[in-house]
Amino acid sequence: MSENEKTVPVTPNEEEVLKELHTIGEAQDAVVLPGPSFQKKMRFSEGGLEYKTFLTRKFVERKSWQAPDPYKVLSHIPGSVIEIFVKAGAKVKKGEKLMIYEAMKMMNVVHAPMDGVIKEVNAKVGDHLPKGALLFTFRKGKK
Amino acid sequence: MSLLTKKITELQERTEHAQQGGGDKAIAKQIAMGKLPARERIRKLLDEGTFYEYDLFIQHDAREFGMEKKDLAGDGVVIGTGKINGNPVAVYAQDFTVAGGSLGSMHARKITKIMDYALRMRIPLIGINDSGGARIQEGVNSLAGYGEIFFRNTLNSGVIPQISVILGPCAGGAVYSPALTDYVFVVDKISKMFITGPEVIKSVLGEEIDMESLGGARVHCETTGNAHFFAESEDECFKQIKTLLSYLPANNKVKPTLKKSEEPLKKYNIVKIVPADPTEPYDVRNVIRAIVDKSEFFEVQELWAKNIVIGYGRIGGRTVGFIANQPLYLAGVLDCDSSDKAARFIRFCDAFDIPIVTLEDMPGYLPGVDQEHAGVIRHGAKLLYAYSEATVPKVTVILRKAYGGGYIAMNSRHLRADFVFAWPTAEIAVMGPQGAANIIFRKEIMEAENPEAMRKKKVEEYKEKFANPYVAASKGYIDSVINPADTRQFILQSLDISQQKNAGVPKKKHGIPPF
Repeated sequence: MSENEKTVPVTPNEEEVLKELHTIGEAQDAVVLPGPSFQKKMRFSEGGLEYKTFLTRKFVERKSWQAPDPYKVLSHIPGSVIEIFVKAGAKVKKGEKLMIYEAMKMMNVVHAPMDGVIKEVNAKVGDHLPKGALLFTFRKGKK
Repeated sequence: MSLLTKKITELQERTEHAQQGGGDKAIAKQIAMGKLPARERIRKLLDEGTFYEYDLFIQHDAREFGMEKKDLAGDGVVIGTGKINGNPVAVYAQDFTVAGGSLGSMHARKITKIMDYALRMRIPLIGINDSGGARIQEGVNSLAGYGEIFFRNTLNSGVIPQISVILGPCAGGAVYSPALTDYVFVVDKISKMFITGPEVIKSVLGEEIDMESLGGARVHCETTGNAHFFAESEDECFKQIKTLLSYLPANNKVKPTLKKSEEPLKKYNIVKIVPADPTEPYDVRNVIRAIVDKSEFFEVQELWAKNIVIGYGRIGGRTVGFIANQPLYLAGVLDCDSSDKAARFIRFCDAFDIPIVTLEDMPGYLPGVDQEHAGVIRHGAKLLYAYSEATVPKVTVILRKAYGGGYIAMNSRHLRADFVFAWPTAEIAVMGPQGAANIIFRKEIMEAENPEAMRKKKVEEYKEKFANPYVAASKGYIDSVINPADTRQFILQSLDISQQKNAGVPKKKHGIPPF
């Protein structure tokens, strides 16, 4: 779906608020979030003022940050799986070769980030993967 | 038939042949794609009858892969000079009907010739891009051609305005010429810009995306910020170019055309536009319209980073560059994109001697992990650098909120603004009353019998004492607290007396901006 085709749900209550805001400016392409309350308010600090304002699409669609899981090995770049050296249940040492991962014309070696047991192999040979794809899962707690 | 007539007839025949481009079939295909042929584009862009074409008879010099047998008219690009709004410009237009507008060494040599010409004559350069990319048969010579163009884009930068118009594909290395120029114009459904296209992305990464969603006009105007002007049609695009050029000088040593000073329209009543409650939004472009001649404001990058507004208007007939926080979007915060957007605009204005007027109303920087991790520190620094470095006349008007680091960044006195004015509604302080009261009176609030009531009381106290323009005025950080109705008059007289400004910066080869 292209940027301009995206439809944004507007509840009746918000429609009125939007109309009101439109009369004070020429807002186009503003984003109204669905939901019970008027959410076009931004707060800047705890206990801070709330400003009435439109949100941009880029802001609304931003990905929220998640703490990295040390038991998951993710691809660091888009690429393809060429060879896998370990199976589920394998005990590996930190630095051991897990996979050959081709990206940007380079045969990259994916190493084990820690001593541990492979719980799952989440990719297979021939996969084309984006950045951040799950490759291996380590068993939790056991090092 | 005399010998001369014969020779002239031959010239006419050769000219006609070369001007056919890729022939009727290829031209019909171009039109079916909704695109105009190269010479038609130039004719529509320039003042009538002003175009003179050069290097019509250029031939490519490729000798491999059967290329030696191919006749490519003008080698796929049209170059020449003409006039826009009566002022000279240099122009080139890639001709997609000839070998897909692919760039070989002679094609590149034509473009660099007109670029050198534009620099020598100190006139604006306009490049119309419509090309499949490098001519693979010419190998590294094609890459050399791109390199020669990029080098000249950089050399010309800040001496003459450089404009890129994307009227077709502009892919791979080719995208870097537009990216190095000052203003990029795109047209819906026609412009396509990307480093690698959908097919490569699919085969290498398995991600499926169509061309329009990857690098169409709207994407570059709304999401990437690579383009500055969005048009629905080629005709609208040419009109935008003419309007932009009407505000710009021909080069960095002359002034833009001085127009007659005219009053703003009555319907933009500055006093009624801005609500006194600092949490209420309004469209800051209407404030600009209430200030500029005839209320004519020409916005740049209208669709990207909407929380800051940039663009041109005239005050007293002179071109002025405006930078204004936009409370209508994201409450007008500063963030990565808005800092980047404003910083580049400031550097353009400074290079071409265009005075800068800043309208300030922002609560601070946008909080968030994504902002911090996207490098808001280094992007924000661009804004500080650009304002500090600029030596053109700089005027700031604080309409309402001016808090924290944002207050410093938005052309404050401390970055050598020439004039700083504030409305009586201005709030200039280290942070908002709520945040400040929570920190300063933490102990009193915690120890109070009713902490919430105490917090409210302290917030009110702080607001009363500090959320106003008079603390800053008492230190001389702002020059005058003014009646909003007098804003245009104050800016006008500031610019009048700044005509001979000499900022006297230390000599250096160049600074090192944070980009």
